[in-house]
Formats: sequence, structure tokens, C-alpha cells
Amino acid sequence: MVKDLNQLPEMNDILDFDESLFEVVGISSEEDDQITTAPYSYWKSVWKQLFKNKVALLCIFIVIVLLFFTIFGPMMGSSTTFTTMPGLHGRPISEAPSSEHWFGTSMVGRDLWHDIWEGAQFSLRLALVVSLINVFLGLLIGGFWGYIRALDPIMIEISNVISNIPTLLIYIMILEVLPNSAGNEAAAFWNSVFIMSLFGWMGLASTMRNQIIIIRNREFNIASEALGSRSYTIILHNLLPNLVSIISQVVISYIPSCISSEVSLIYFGAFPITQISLGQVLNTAFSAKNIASALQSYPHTLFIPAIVMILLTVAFFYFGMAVADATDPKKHR
Amino acid sequence: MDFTKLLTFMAEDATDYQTQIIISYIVIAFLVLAIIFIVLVNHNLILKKDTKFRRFLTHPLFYYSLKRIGSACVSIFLALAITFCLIRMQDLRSVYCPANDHLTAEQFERWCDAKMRSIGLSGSLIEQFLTYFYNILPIPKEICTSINELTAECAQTRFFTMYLGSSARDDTIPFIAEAIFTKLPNSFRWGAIDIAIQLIIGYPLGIFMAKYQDRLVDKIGKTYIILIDAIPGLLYFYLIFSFFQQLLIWNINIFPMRFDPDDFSSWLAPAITSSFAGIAGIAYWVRRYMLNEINSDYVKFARAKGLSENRIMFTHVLRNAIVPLSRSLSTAFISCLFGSYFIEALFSIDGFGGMLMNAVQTKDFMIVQGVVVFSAILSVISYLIADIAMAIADPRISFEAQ
Amino acid sequence: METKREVEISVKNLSVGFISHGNKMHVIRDITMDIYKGETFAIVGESGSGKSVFTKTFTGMLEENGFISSGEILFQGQDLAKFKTNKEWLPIRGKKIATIFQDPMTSLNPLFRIGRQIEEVLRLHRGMNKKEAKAEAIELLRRVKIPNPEKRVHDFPFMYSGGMRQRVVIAIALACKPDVLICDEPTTALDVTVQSQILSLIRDLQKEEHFTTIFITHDLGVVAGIADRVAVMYGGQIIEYGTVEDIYYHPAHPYTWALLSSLPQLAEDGSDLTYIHGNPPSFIGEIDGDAFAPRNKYAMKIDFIKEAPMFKISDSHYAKTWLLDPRAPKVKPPRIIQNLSNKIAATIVKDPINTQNEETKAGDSHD
Repeated sequence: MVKDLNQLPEMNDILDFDESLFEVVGISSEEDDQITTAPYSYWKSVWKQLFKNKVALLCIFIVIVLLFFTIFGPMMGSSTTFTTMPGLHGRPISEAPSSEHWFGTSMVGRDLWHDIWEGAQFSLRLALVVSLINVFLGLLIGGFWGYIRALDPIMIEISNVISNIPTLLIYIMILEVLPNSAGNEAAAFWNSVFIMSLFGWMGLASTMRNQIIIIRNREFNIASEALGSRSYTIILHNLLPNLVSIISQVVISYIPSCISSEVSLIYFGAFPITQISLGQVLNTAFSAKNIASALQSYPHTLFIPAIVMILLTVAFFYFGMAVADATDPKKHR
Repeated sequence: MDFTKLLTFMAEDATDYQTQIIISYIVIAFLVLAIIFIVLVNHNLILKKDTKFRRFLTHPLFYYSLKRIGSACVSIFLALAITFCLIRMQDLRSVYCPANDHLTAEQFERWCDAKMRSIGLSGSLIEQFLTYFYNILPIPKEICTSINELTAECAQTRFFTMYLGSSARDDTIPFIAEAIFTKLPNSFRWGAIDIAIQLIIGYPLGIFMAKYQDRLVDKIGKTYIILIDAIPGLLYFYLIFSFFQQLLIWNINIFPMRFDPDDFSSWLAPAITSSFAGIAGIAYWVRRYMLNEINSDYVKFARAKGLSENRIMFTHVLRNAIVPLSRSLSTAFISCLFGSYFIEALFSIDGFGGMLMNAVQTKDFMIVQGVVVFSAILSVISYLIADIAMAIADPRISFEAQ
Repeated sequence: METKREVEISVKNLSVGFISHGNKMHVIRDITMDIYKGETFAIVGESGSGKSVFTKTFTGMLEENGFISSGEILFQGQDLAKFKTNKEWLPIRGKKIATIFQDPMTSLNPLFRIGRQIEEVLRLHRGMNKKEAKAEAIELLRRVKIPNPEKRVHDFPFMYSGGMRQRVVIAIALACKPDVLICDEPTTALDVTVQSQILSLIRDLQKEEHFTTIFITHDLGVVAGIADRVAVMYGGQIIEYGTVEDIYYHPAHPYTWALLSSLPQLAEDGSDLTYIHGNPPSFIGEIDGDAFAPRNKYAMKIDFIKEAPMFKISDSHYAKTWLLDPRAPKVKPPRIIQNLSNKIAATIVKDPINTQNEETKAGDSHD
């Protein structure tokens, strides 16, 4: 291990160095107190991360395709005529997919192509409005909840109370009280929005609250507070950037979860809408009495709506997770 | 033990009823005094000498549980108040007084008034509220259960310990407490299997996902969790149900679809269908808590000690990850009793969830209210279980502040 | 005398890389070093100099994104650098080379009794049965001077104070009579009074058991009290090594000078504390010349062009600086570290035995 000067091969050229190189120059000030790491840009890394995730790209593609059909599908040429059984006083019957009915027809003889895309249009519109309201309320209430310490016990009590009542029952009882919306599509829509956003913000609000409390107690924020940063600086620079990842996931996953609760509410017959919706298509297809016979004779009435629903919810959900991953600075490596 | 009897008809006749009342008042008074005593001891106002008894009463966990139950009672009280108000906003008269052709309009009104009074639905809102709470308190009481249609007088009374109300629709089991206890066993039958499946599959799945992070098992597990999270619950219930139907069509008869309380094999199909979501939930949290622990210093030190990765995972890490999970035991207990609306409807199980569902659809709101009260009581019990489970899982909790 | 001693661990041209943010970093750059049997070998350097990473390679405990890119680590006839699987490491870790970490508060599993955590190792590495292991665990606790070990063996870690926990950690580390004990800043998280007790405990145990200690620290005061030889690390390289006397009384590398001058104990009344300007080098990309050059008061032009070789100063003392080249100007070390011998004698760890009883008492009632 002893490194003798003469034993090292490169020593020869060392001996050739000019003596002038042995002049003391001292600290090179321009390099003093500099952090020399690779340049890092948050948003660039977010995009890089997102585009690296092939499944997320696929999900975006699926979402775009589904959105396209949701908007333009109902205008396309699948026939809207009812299919009926010949002879038997026009009793409706299901037909397999054909060039006339692209997705076939349902058990009640309706064209599935139109039902699904019109239903999706309604469901997505509802989900979008409800999500926006829930996100807004969730961020607002969660922000106050986490930031104002005095509010904490009250809000915890409220969330305890709500968790003690089966929310479905509340929905149903509230719908009984709301002004009757039979036949009025707009009123029905807004009634649905109302009950779905009644407690929908709760999840986001408590996530916000927990995260804010966690971040608030981190050293960097305590230091910032001790140095006298103003409230808005703390919220804008200390809290928000750390919340982006969690918020974005919750926000995007609101859409599948809204669709999901719509399906359940319709199942309970507790939904005021009269229009066709994705949940309705699904529940009609899978009504318990029909499943056995449907499986044997016209399985497409079950699987086409199911597949569309799965694609839609999973694509949105996964995309939300990918965005959350990409916006999390801890994963930028 | 016959719960139904305990909760609904403790007394057989009037003299029995008298003694019951006295006993229950003594019990309640004793409980109240005990709680006051414990609080006083804990605030160092009485019994200042350090004895074993005092140490038991001031055990942090003991007092903490008491406080938690106290605050749970407050939130349950509020929850009940909200449900109460919501229900009073409904048109209950039409639900409880079905049209009767034998009666004149005047007779009908009188009968209906009397009936509403007997079930505590007349008078001012405050009056109703007080009656309601008196009825659900565990004090023996005499309730009129049937009204003579012509004279509008009480035709039959019954003694109750806790009166949760009566059904407006279901004549076979008119009293809600009774109804709950006849339906619960059915829900419990398949619910218990459901929980067992969840634990048996969920825990190992979570452990393996954490152990082989980012490898194949983890990826499959993650995909599964994402699918369960994203797809509407009802849809995959439908799909699994369809799968069982398809098995029947193929003449594979392992899972009978018709629920039969006496046939174990028929409990499996609903249990399996329902367990999918639970497995995903358990696996997710087990994985997450384990990964949290994996990066901790004691794991590094255990590795430096020369322990194998398996040993670290299955003894050290798992033991620590179980602490936060032990709390979920109580939730499991509750959900195992309650069943699920959808599952019970799909498999036509005459259980708790199905009853609730039925009540909602027929607007039998008193049942809804009874169910809320009942689930509130259970949730208090579950808080207790959760605290005990945590204390067993983590010695620090019972040690703290001592 | 140094050259005749038996070598315990021999590191040859060791380089370690990390992958972070998609960049490859060279955290350990070509270290060659022998560690002798039974000595206390201290590695000093500031945070990020790679001192922890260096010793982690001895037990295969590099983080997942780290890897040995070249070189060998010879230990008892095996090349540890070639080990790939955990299985290969198991007979080494804990059994032959034990490690104790910085923070005793978190090193122990909070939910297992102290006894169980010691017994676990005994049963695994020494094949004891439950009863033997328990008796041995009590014995070990007694040896690390835990009072009342028969009773305390049943306690949970949270019932112990920080110093007591570090004693337990040491007991676990020594349970298998390892040949090498790596102490990764074992006293940094502790109170100053407890620190000296832990240090003297390690020293006493070493006298009895004759294991080799590798001591990682950034605290030169600690080093002076405990080490036989010292290596100074900077930028992933050992830039100077020698006996304690060599390093303290005849430091040769400007970085060592700077480190010594920044000892707060040496500060004179009224004058500012000395510190080293700038930051340690980033490991991204290649470093041209001497890594310390930009922060070096005595940097020469050549330091920016060419890395200095290891110059031999004496049989035991080597340094990697061009200042030792015959052509370099004669530079004198800073005034503050001249006559260090007198100053150090005044500041170094006082006799810890006296304070020991107090702590064990305090530890008993603590927490």
C-alpha cells in the first residue's frame, strides 16, 4: 500500500511539471460558497416523470378517446330504433351488436351505443361539476381547518358525527325534503349535484388538514415562522408546494369516485334524475333477475357497459396517481 | 345469552316491571357515581394515597378510554339529533297510518293521532326529541304497541328496556330491536367469513408487496388495488356475481347462490364477493406501514446485527406495522356485523343490510333511525376494542405518562 | 512498528458510486488503506466526505442506489467487494463486523424487550438456546454497566435513557465477539457527559476483547481521546493519515490544518472562530485536480490541474498534497494549530470514570 513516488507510473510526468505551477494562489473566491449540483427545474421534472410513465400516457389516450365518443358518439350513425320481438305485440328484445346497432341493444330494446355515450355524457358532466365543487370546498375548508388551530376540535366533532350516520340514508332523506324535480331535468341535475357534494369535500378537507399539520410542524416551516414570515408566504411557499402532489391525486380521483357513487345512488333508486346515465345503463343491465338469462343469451348487454365503465374510471384514477407521483418532488430522481 | 330478551322485553308482567325499574335505576346511579369517582380520582381531588386501586383507576389507558367513549357519546348524540331532525322532516303520517276503508275520516284521524302519540311522533319537536331519547335509554318502560281502531285507545302494551321504535311496514317483526337481532345472525354468518378471507389473503399480500417492493408481486398487487379503488364497487360486485352465475350455467355447483342460514357453503359466495375490496384495503395499508418501518434505524441496526431479511420483515417490521393496523380490528368487527346493502340485496340474504335497504326503499324511517342508534352503540363498543387492541399491540401506550 | 502489525481489513483502490437524479456520482474515489488488528482507527471528515459510505462497504450496507465500482476489500481471506447477495453477507454482519449507529434512540426496535433483542443475536450467531441466551444477555448488560440487569432485561427500550440505550446497542454489537466494531458517530446524538462515558466504555471493552474499532466522527476532540491512528477524509478520498500524534502535532495537509484550526476549543478570547470557506465538492462529474483546492488557502496552480499523490512523511504518516513536493514553497501551518500538544492536553476528554456512576443513576430514573 505504500505509495512511493518513484513506483507510480504517472510520477514521471509529475516530475516534468513546470515549477511555476507550484505557486500559491489561495482560495479561488468565485467558487466559494456555491452549491454545484445539476440544474433542477420542478415543472420540467414533473413533465419528464409523467412522460416516462407509459401506462399514464396510455390512460390519457384512453380518456381522450372516451371523451371523443362521449361528445360525438350520440351523433354517430348507430340506429336509435327499438328492437322488438316479431309477432308478440312488439315486446322489446335484445339484439347482438350489428352494423345497425353498433353495441347491440339492451334488454329493453334500446340502442346501447346511444345509451352508453349519452349516459357517459351526463355522468361525466355531473362528475365534473361535483368534483369542482368538492375540490373547491375541500381545499377551502381543509385549509382553514388545518391552519386555524381553534377550528380543529369543532371540525373533528363534525366529521365524527357524519361518520356516525350512514351517509346514504342522509342522501335519501334529504332528497325527500328537496323540492320535487320530476320531469325537470335541470332541477334534477342540480339536486343530484347538491346531495353528492354535501359530504364529498370531507375526504379532501381532512387530507388537507393532516398534511398542513404535518408540514406546519416540520423544521423548515418552524424556522420560517420563527424568522417572521407572513401567513401568506407560509401558505404560498411552505405549504402549497408540498401539497400539490396529494391534492392533484385527490382531485383527479374525484371523477371516478363520483361516477361510483352515482352508480350506487341509482341502484338505491335514490337519484332524482330521469335522464339516461352510465349508472343507469349499468344497473339496468345487471338487474339481479336478469343476470343469469343475460349471461346465456345476450352477454353483450352486460359486458359492453361494464368495459366502458372500467376503462373510464381506471384511466382517470391511474392518471391521477401518475400526476401525484410526478408532482412529488421526492420522486424526482 | 338471549340479547333480544335483554334489550327488548326484560319484564314479563307489571310486578316484574317494578323490580326491573328499581334495579335499572340503581345500576344507572351506580355507573354515574363510578364515573364521577374516577374523574375525581384522576384530578387528584380524592383518594390521594398511592394504592393498587388508585393506580388502576388512574391508569392512563383506562382514563383515556373513558374520555374517548365520553366524546364518542357526544358525537353519537349529535348524529342522532341530526337523523332525528331529518326524519321529522319526512311525511311520517302517511307512512304510519295507511289508508283504512273501515274507518270514517274522523275515526281515522283519531286513530292515527293516537298511534302517532304511542310511537312518540306527536307534539312539539322538543317533546318528540325527549320522548325519543327517553325511549332509547336503557330504563324499563311500558309502551303501547297496538291501538284499537275504533276507540283509539291503547289495546296492548309491552315492557321494553330499550325501545328503538317499531316498523310501519313489516308486520312479522314489528319491533326494531327484535328485527335487528333476528337479522344480525345472517349478516354475521357471511360477514365473519368475509373478514377471515380478507385477513388471510390481505396480510400476506401486503407483506409480500412490501418485501418485494417494485417487483412482480408488488406490481400485480398494486394493479389489483388500483382496479378495486377505481372501479365502482357495485360494478365489480355485479361482475363477480355474474361469474358465480356463469359457474352455475357451466354446472359447477360449488357455490350455491341462494343464501341459506343452515348451509355453510352458501355463505361463501357473498363472502368472497365482498372480500375483494377488503383485501385490497388491508394489503395497501400493510404494505404502506411496512415500508414506513423498513426505512427506520432499527431495521438498519437489525441488518447490521446480521439478521436475515426474512427475519427482519416477519418479526421486527411486521410487529411494528401491526400497531396502527390493530385499530382497524374494530372496524372489521362492525362491518362483519352489518353486512353490506349491495351484497345482501344481490344474494337475497335476509340480513341487516338488506333490512336497511328495504326500510329505505319503503320509507320506513323508524327502522332507519333504529339502525342508526344501534350502529352508534356498536361504534362505542368498537372504540373500546380498538383501544384495547392498541394497548396490547404497543406497550408504550399503556406506559406513557406513568 | 506500524508495518509489522497484522492487517485486519485491507482496502485496495476502492471506488463507490451512487446514482441519484439520474446522475452517477463518485462518492468514494480510489481509497487504499490498511486497518490493523486491535487498533482504534478513526476516520474524520465533514458531512458528505464519504466517511460513512466508506465503512458501509465493509458490511454491504450501502443504500440501494449505491454500488462498488472497483477495488477490493480484503477481510480474513475474503474479498468483501465481490459479495453480491445478502446470504453472503449474513455470516459477516454482526458476527465478524458489528456496527453501532449514531442514534441510539431509534436503533432498537421499540416493541421488543431489551432481552429479546440481545438474545436474538446470541441464538442466531452463537447457537445458544433460550435459557443460555438469556443468562448471556444479562451478563452482557452487566458488562456494559447497566445497573440491575436481571430486572432491566425485561424492559422495553423506551424505558431507557439515550446513554443507556447506546450501552444496550453496544452490548448487542459485542454479543458475538466480533473482530471489527464500526462505530458510526456513536456519540453525536448524546449529551457531552454521556458521550465520554460511552467512549470510555468502548475503550475498556476493547482492552478486554481486543477487537478492532473503526471510529467515524467529525469531532476531532473525540478522536484525540480514543484513536490510535487517524485518517482524514475529504471529497471521497483519504487525504492524510497517520498516528494521532502525526495528525495532531505534525499535520501536513492544508485541509487537516483547516479542520484543526476550526476546533472551537482552540479559539482565543476575542477572536472569531475559524471556519473552512465554501462547501464540500459535489460528486457529480469528474473533479479536476485536488478536490479541496477551491477552498484551500494554500492552493497552488497545480492543485487545479493534477491530483496530488500520497507523499510519505514518515513510516506511519502520509498525506496527499503538493505542498510536500520538493518544488513547492515552504508554507507554515496556521499559527493557531502550532503548539497543539499543549492546547490539546488541556481540552481533551477528561477522565470519564468519575462521571460514570452519576449517569447510571440518572439513567435509572430517567424516562
